[in-house]
Amino acid sequence: MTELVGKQEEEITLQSKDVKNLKEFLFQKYPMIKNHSFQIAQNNQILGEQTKLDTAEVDLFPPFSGG
Amino acid sequence: MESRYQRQLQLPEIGTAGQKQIAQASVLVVGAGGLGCPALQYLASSGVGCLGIIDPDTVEISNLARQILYNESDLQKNKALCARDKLKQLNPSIDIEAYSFALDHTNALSIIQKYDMVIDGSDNFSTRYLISDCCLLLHKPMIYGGLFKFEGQISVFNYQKGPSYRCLFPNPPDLGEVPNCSDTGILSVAPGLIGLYQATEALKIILKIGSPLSGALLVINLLTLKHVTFEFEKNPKEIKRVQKNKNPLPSSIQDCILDFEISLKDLTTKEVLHWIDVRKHEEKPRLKFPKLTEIPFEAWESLESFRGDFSKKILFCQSGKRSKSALSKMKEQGIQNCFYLKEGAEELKKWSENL
Repeated sequence: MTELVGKQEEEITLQSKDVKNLKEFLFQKYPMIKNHSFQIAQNNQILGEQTKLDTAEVDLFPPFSGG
Repeated sequence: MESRYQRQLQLPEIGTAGQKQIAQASVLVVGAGGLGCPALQYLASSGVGCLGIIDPDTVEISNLARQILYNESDLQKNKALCARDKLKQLNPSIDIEAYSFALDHTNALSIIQKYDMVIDGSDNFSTRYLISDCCLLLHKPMIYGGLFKFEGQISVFNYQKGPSYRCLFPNPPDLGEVPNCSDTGILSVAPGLIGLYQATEALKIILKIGSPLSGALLVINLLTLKHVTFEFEKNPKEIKRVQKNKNPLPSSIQDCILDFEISLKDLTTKEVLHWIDVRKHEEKPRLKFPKLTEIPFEAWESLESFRGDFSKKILFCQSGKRSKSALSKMKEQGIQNCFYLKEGAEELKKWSENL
């Protein structure tokens, strides 16, 4: 993810604070991540689409391969 | 036994009873690579009574920086067989079964069934989802390890009916979306650490001590030494999708073409198969099956007629070469449950006559 968008972290302002809105915002700003699978977590809890965001910090992470 | 496992026996949480549980346990390690090597080494040295190792690959020079069971004299040897020999020297008292071929849709359930749990040390998503679905169907814990450059992920899936891999990531990423170690590079100690976490989780599950990492994904960044555990819920829809299918879900990605190769010796006579002959009409011998479609590969345009067909389809040609290309085409178009025959028409004819 970091490599695709070119940054480790970023501060953003959302109109409506839920996961769906956050994803829409991210896809618009970073269209290159649109076709990638990743999960969103807040307070170390992985979130569903409809979840409200109530903290200031969220984590994004993709699946990893192995070896 | 006493002196070999002395330090472990001294722990009140383990003792003689715990060591006996370890000796009675069986663990399958899929992939004897960067994750599998350290996991196997410690499971063997800890006295896990029965180990299975499955890997079709051979030892390459570029493996030696992290696949610590091997040395230079092992180059070109099959990893599963080579690992077994090394581990036998380390601990001759345990049973080790080596499978020198790939885990695929035809053999996964029957192999995984023999073990108490599976350590996933695979390097591709089709194998990972295959392990996950089989473990879910067979109610076996799957101990997952993932790697990316300086980072690792660990989790335990299907533990006491807990969440599965598909609850976290429902479908495999597209081909090429997530690079593997051979594409991006990896710090050589990273798989070592993650593989040891996997072995630790296996021992905890065997001994029923501590809390296995079920419903949680531990993400470790070795550059910052940040360890974060993300919790996630069971997704009943995903679990049901696999259970309803009664078999591992067909994979549309093809990061490992071997998954779709089928050999005559793996086929049972009971299976209802849809054979697809991709040879030209003049090619001999012609074959007869209750369900047979003849479409020469050269004439392939639309594969629409296969779209709603969920029967097990096997493509064949004269040598296995064209059927392999045809399979790629089918996969590209999202046709499910299709495989290609490793052998040619001549061998298939003999096989069918012996039915």
